[in-house]
Amino acid sequence: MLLKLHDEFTVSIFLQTRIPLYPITYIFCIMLWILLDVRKRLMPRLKGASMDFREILKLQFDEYQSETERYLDGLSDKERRFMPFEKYNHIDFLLWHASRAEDALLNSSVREKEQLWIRGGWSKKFGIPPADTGLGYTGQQVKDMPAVSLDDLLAYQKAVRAETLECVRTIEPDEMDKRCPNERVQRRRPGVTKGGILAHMVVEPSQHLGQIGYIRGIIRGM
Amino acid sequence: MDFREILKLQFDEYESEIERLVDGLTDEERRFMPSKESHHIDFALWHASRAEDILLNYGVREEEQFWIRGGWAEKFGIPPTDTGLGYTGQQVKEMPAVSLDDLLAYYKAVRAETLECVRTIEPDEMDKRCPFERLHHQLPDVTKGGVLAHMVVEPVQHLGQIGYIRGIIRGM
Repeated sequence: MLLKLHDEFTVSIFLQTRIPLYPITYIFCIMLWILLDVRKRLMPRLKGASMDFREILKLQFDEYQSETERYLDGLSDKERRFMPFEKYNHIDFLLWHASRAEDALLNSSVREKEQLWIRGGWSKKFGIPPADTGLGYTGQQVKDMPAVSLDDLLAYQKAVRAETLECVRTIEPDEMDKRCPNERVQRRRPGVTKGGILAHMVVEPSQHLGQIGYIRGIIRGM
Repeated sequence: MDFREILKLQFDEYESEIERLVDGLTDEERRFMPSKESHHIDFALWHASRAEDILLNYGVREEEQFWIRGGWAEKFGIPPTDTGLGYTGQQVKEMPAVSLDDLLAYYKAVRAETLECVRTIEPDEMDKRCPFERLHHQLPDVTKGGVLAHMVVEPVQHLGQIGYIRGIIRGM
């Protein structure tokens, strides 16, 4: 917009013969051009509207949320516990495990707080031991996971997600570059930063989301 | 940490996971379908790369898709306009046999363009409306930056499916 105005203005100066072409006119035009050019270059930085890490992560978590709701829509309790070939992860397990992983990563590796699973009493509510995340569960353990209503599964998922989004919104940029304090995670991802954990928190749960969609496809067709 | 670094980390994680998940699978295992309508690993791998290609080139860079420009449609024997979206179980089953090397070569060629774009895109370009109108039906008013963010979430879901199918074949 600025550039356009400036172009029209320049053109009008040179085309309208009524304006005398004194040297001062040229100097004025050149100064105006410099001023507008500098402003144009600085504008994106000044308004700070460019997409930053916060916006990328927010978009990704929002997409995850709407996809989760779409995949779960209308599934019965029985469908959500269906295990292909009687031994592979069912949807309830995946939904719980993805939220549980997000909780552990966010709170133990980024915010350095007690996990919501424990702090919020979810472990008791679900009847699953506080230290369990689902990682390393056998098919039998997945099968024996206590029955949890979809409302409760989603309530836990949304409670964790609210903390994730709050963190994405408020974390200081220099905090993002700090080494992740969780040593267990460091063994798996050497040198990972807190920002790296937030990036991973999209990639890991999204894989489970794709699995939920895939199982729905097995049950209901594509 | 800026948007470039976040995206780079996510694409790198995808890369290391994909190599781990397809490692050592036979041609037959990669074509295993758990049910008549559930896709196999080769389809998921091709479709994820194909989606990345179209999103990057039509949704962000405004160039011809690599699938067409690089001669991959002919090489794979799949029509140039096909992306795998809307394929029936039968179509997935009948997808031409493609070697793992070729599948990975196409994936890596697309990914190289993606990473180049993430590395060089101007910040104000990220805020521009995505010029690929068809995508606005699915993601209304999405920007080019939004398309890049989506290019993580969609292919990563297929990655998770590849892991799940591998689990069914080989155990967890």
